[in-house]
Amino acid sequence: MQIETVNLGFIYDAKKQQHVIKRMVDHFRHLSKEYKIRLVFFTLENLDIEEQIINGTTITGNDIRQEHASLPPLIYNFAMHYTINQIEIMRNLRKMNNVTVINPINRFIQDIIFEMLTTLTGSQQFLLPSATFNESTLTEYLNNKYHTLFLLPEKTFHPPKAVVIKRFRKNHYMICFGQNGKMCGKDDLLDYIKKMMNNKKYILMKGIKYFHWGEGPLEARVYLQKGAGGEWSNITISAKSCIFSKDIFYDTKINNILNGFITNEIKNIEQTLADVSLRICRFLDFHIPFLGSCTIDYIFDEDHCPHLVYVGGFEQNQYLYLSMDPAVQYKLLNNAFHYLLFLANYSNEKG
Amino acid sequence: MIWIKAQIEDTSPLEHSPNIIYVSESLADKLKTQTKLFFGQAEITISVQVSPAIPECMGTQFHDPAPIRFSPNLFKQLLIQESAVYQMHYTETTINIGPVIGFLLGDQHYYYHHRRLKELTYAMGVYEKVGGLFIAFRQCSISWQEMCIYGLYFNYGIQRWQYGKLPLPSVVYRRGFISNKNFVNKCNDLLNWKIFNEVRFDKWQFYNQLKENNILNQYLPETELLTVDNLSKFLNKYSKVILKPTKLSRGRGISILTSGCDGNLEVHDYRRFADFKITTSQLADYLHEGKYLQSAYIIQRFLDVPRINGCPWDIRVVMQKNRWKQWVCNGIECRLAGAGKLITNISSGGRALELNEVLQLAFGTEIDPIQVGKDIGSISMEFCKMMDRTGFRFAEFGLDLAIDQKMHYWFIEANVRPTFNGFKTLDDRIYRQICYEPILYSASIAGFGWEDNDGTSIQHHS
Amino acid sequence: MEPQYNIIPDLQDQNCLTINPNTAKQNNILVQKKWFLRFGIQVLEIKLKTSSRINENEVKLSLSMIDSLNIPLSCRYEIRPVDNEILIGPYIGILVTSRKDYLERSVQYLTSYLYDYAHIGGAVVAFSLEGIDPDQYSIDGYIFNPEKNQWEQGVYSYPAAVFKITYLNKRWRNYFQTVFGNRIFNSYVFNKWEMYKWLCQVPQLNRHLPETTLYKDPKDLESFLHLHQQIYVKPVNGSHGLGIYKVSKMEEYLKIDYDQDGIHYSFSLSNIFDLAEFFRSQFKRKKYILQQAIDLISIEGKNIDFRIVLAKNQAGAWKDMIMVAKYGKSGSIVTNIKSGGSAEIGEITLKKMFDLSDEEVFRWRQKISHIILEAVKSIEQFGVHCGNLGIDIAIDTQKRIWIIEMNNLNPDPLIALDVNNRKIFYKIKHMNMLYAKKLAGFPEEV
Repeated sequence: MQIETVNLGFIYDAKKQQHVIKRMVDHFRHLSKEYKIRLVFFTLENLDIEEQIINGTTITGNDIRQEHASLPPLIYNFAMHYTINQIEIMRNLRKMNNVTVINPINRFIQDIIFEMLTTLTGSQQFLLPSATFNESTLTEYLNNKYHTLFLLPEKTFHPPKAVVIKRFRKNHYMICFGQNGKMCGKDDLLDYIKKMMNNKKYILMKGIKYFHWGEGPLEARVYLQKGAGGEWSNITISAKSCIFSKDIFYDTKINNILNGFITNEIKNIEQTLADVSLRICRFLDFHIPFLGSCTIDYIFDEDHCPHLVYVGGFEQNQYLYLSMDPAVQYKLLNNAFHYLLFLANYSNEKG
Repeated sequence: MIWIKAQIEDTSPLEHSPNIIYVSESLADKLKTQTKLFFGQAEITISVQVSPAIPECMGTQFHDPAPIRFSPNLFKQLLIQESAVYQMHYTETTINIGPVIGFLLGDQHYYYHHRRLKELTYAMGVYEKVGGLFIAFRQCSISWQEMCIYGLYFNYGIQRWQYGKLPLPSVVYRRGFISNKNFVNKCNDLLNWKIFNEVRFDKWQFYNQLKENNILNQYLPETELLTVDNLSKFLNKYSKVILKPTKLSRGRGISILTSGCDGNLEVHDYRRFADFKITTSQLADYLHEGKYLQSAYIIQRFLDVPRINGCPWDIRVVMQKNRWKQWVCNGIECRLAGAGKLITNISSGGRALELNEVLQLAFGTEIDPIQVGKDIGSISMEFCKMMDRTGFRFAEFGLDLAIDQKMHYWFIEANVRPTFNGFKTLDDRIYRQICYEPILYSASIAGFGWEDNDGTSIQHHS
Repeated sequence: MEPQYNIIPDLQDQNCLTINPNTAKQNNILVQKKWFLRFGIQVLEIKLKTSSRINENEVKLSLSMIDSLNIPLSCRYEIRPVDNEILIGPYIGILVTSRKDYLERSVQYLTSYLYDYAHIGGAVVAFSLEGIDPDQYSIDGYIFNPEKNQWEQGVYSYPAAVFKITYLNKRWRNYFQTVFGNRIFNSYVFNKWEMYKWLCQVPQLNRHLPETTLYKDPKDLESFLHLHQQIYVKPVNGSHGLGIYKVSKMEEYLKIDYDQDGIHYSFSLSNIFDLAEFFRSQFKRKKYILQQAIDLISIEGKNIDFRIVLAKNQAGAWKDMIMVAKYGKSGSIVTNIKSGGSAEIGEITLKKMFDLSDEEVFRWRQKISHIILEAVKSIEQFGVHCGNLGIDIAIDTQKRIWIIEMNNLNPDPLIALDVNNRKIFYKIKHMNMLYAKKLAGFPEEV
C-alpha cells in the first residue's frame, strides 16, 4: 500500500457537509498550487487511528485523487461528531503528540460555556442568567418571577429547538415554539417539559421580551475565525432564525432590520456584535485550546441590545451556510487553510 | 501562623487606591506598618492600617479566620479570592499569604468544568488542613499579557470549582501530560514555577536509569529496543517475550510471543481477538505488518508469575511525597488480570486485590507477607531516591512490580502520573490518603506546611 | 365522544409519533405498519412508536413535524387510521370573506360556530381569500385557541376541509375544487333561475314550484302576465327580499308595488310597454326572473311565508332544523324580517292558520320536510355540494305548499334568534362544523 505524505488535513462529514467539500476542493486546488502544499480531506470513517492512516481525497495542485495518506501534523475539523465511536476517535486524535487538531469539537456544552463567560468582564451586559434544567432550577426560576424563560438544548439546536415559556395569567404558562404554543398549568409544567425533553439535557435561561421578527425573535449569528495571522476576526454577521423557530436566512443586514424601527437614533448594532463576539472568542481561548472557528448567536431585547444564546464551532447548518454570500463561504474555508498554514510556519520557526 | 480571610475594603473610595491592608487592632500590633506582601507569584509593598470596623479575631482556627480587608486596587492586583481561607505567616519584613497552588490539567478533556474535576474535588477534602487557593488550569489558561490565569479555583464555601481570573500560583502540580514540551520550560523560565511531575519518562528511559543503579538492576528483566535482530536474540534466549510500546501504559499495544517446541511462534497480539502461529522466518514480516518497527517498542523477557486461577497478577505501589517532603508508600494493591487476559491492568478488565490475599493464593504459606511488604517498600523507596537524583521534580510514582515462581522481585514499569482507581474499590481510606497527599505536599513546598495539630484526623498509611 | 389527545412536542427524536400502547389498540393502529401522518392536506412519513410513559390522552410528535405540518398545540385532536395514513384532526377551515381586514373585524363572531368545541375538537382556521398563499400552501388567518377561547392570527397550513360562507368566483372555485375536491361545501352558489330549471324537471316537485321564467325582453312580461294575475319580478341572485317587484294585473292598468330604502312605493302604469321601460331603468345589467305570485295566506293583513333551515350532520345526513313563520309588514310585498316583519315558530303559525290539532300540525310539518328534503337531494344531484340551506316556502289559500327560494350562499341561522331559540341557533352552527368534521376525515363512527 502506497502511503502519501500530506501537510494539512481537513475532516468533514460525508453526509451533512457535501456542500462544504465541493467548494473546498475547488478553492483549495489553487491554494495547494500557490503554496506548494499537499492537502487531504477525509471523514472519520476513513481514518485508521491505530495505524495513523487516512483513506481520503488528496489535493496536490490540480491533481485530486482518492488515496491513502499518513496523518498530517495539522488538521482542521469542519464536522460535528455524535456517535460514541466518533467521539472516541476524536479524543484519541486530540491527545496525540504529533497531531494538532483545530476545532476538535464543534458543539459545546452551553451551560459550561455560559458559566465560563460569567467571569468575562462586562459579560453581564449580554449574558442572561442560566442553569442546567432540573426541578429545582425550574422552581427557582419561576420563583424569581421571571416572566419568560428560555429552554435551550444543552449542546446543539440541531435538530432540537429552543422553547419559550411565558407566564400567562395566574399559575399558567404558555409553552411556545415559534408561533405555536400550548398553555400549561403551573403544576403540570415540569411534567410536560420533561416529556418533551426525552431525558436529554436542557438549559434554563432567564427570558427577555425580545425583538420579534418572523415567527420568533430575530437571531444574529456572528462568524469568527482565526486566520493567516493567528488572530480572531469577525467574518460576517447573518440575520436568521434557527434556534427559536424554523430555519430562515434573512438577506438583510441586522442593522437595517433593527434600525428600521428607530427613527432618530441609529445604533451600529453590528459593530457591537462584532466587538462583543471578539471579546468572547479571545476569552474562550483561555479555557478551550485549539479553537479556530466560532459561531455566536444572539437575540435582541426591545431596546435592541444583544443577548447571547448560543456558542458553536464551525457552522454545521447546511442551509445557513449555503445562504451566505459565496464570497463569505470562500472566506471561511480560506481562513481555515491559512490558519493551519500559520500554525505550520509557526512550529517550523520554533524548530 | 494565623488563618485569615480576604475581603475587599468597600469604603475605600479611590479607584487607584494605595496598597493597604486593614486589620483589627490586635493583629495590627503584630505587623509592621510598612511591609512586603507575598501571595502566589506576587510581591507587593504594602502598608498595614488598623480598621476599628474589623472584629477582633486572632485566626487561631481554620473555622474562625481573622478578616483582613484589602484596598480595592490591591485586591484587584492580587486576584485574591474572597471564598478562600488562607494561612498567613509574618516576619519583621514580610507577610506571606497562601498557599496558591496550581494543578496543570492535561488533554483528558477538551475543556474543563467542576463536573469534570471529580478527583480534585475529592482531594479538596483536606482543604481545612491547608487552606489557600487551588487553581486548576491548562496551558492555554495563562494570560501572558495580564500575567494571570483564567481557570478554575476551588470555592470552599460552596465546595465547587468555579471559573475566575486568578493569580499565578507558586507551586504547580502536573496532573496530566500535554503535547507541548516547550511550555514547561517557558513556565520555568518566565514564572519561576516549581512544577512537579514536570517530565514523563518512557519505558526505555526508565530502564536505562535503573540499569545504572546497583541495587535496582537486579530486579530488571532484560530489556532491549525492538529490532528484528534483537527480537531473534531474545527468542533464542527466552521462550516467552513481550513487546511493549515505550510511551503507552495500561497494556495498550502489547504483543506476547511464545516459542513452541515445533519451532513456531505463538502470537498473542493486542489487536487480534484470537492467538495465532507464525514461523520464525515470518517474524520480520509480522513486525513489519504490525508496524511494530515504526513506533518505539521495547522487548522484554516475559515474566512467568505464579497464576491465580490461571490469571496473571502484578503489584502496583503508590509512592508519594508527603507533607514533610519525604517519599512514602501510600498504597500497595495487587491487580489480577481479567479472565483470558495476559495483562493485569484494571482498565483491561482486571481486578484489584489486597497484597496478603494474593500472596496467599499464589504461594500459600511458603511466603511471609510482612517481609514481602518491606521488600517492596525498600525497592520502591530506592527507585524514588534514584529519580530524585536526576534533578527533575517528582511528587508521585505508580510502580509496577511482579514476583516470579522463585520469589524473585521484578521491576516492570513506573508511571509518573498514575491512576489509582483500584484503590477506590479496595479501600476508600487509602484512596483518600492518596488523593490528599499531593495537596499536603504542595502546600509544604509552597511554604505553608501542614500544621500537625490534630494528626488523628488523617491516618498515615504505609 | 371520541377520545381526544393532547400533542406533546418531542424535542429530540426526528419524524416520530409516539403513542401509548393502549391508544394504538383502541384505534386499531398497527405499530409495525409503514405510516404517513396527515394534518390538513399535508402528509409526512413517520416512525410510529409506542411508550407507556405517554399517557393515554397524549401523543408525542417530533417538533420538526409539528413545525412542518403547522399543527397548533393548544387544540385537542382525534386520531384515526385511514389506509396507510394516521389522520390527526379534524382540521377545519372556515372561508369567511375575501378580504383580510374584514376577516380581522369579524373573526370574533365566528366563535358562535364553536360553542360546543369539545365535540368538534381539532383545529379550526378562519381565513380570507387574500390570506391564501397558493405557492406556499399556507394561509394567513386565525386559529381558534380553545385554551384562551380566542382567535390567534398566524400563518397556517391548508385545512382538511373547508366550510365557506362567502362568494367565490369561478377561478377560486376551480382552485378549491383542485385542492380540496369534495371536502369543500357550498362552493357553488346556485341562483333562483338555476333552482327552478333543475327542480321543475322532477315530477314530484314540479307542482310545488311557482311558475318561473327568465326575463329577457318585454315580450316575456306580456306572455307571463297573460297567464298570471299577479307576478313577482326578482333578481336572479338577490336575497334578503331586496329588489323585488310585484306586478298586479288590474282591469285597466298594471299596478307596481315594491320597497326601496324603507319606503313602500305603489303606482300604476297603463301598459306593458311602460312597465318594460320602468324595469329597464331599474334593472341595470342584472338578471331577473318572473315568478308567479302565490296567493299567500295572511293573518291580520300580514303576508306569511316560512323559512326552514336544513343542515347536514356528522354522518352526512340532512336534518330539518327549524321552521319559522315570517310575517310581512302590513301592506308589504315581502315577508323579510329585516324589512320590518316579525317571526313566529312555524308550527304555531300553522296551527293558527288552519286551526289544526297538534297531530295535524305534526303531519303538515312532516309533509313540508319531505318536500324540501326531496328538493335538496335533487339540487345535489345537479352537482352542488351543500352542507346547509335556508329554504323559503309558502302556503296558499288552497293549502298548497310552494317552494319559493333556496339559499346556499350563507344561510343564516339568525332566523332562530328571531323566535328566541338560541339553542337551535347554536345547534345549526355546530351541525355545520360537524359536517365539516366529517369531510375532514372524521365522520361519525357507527
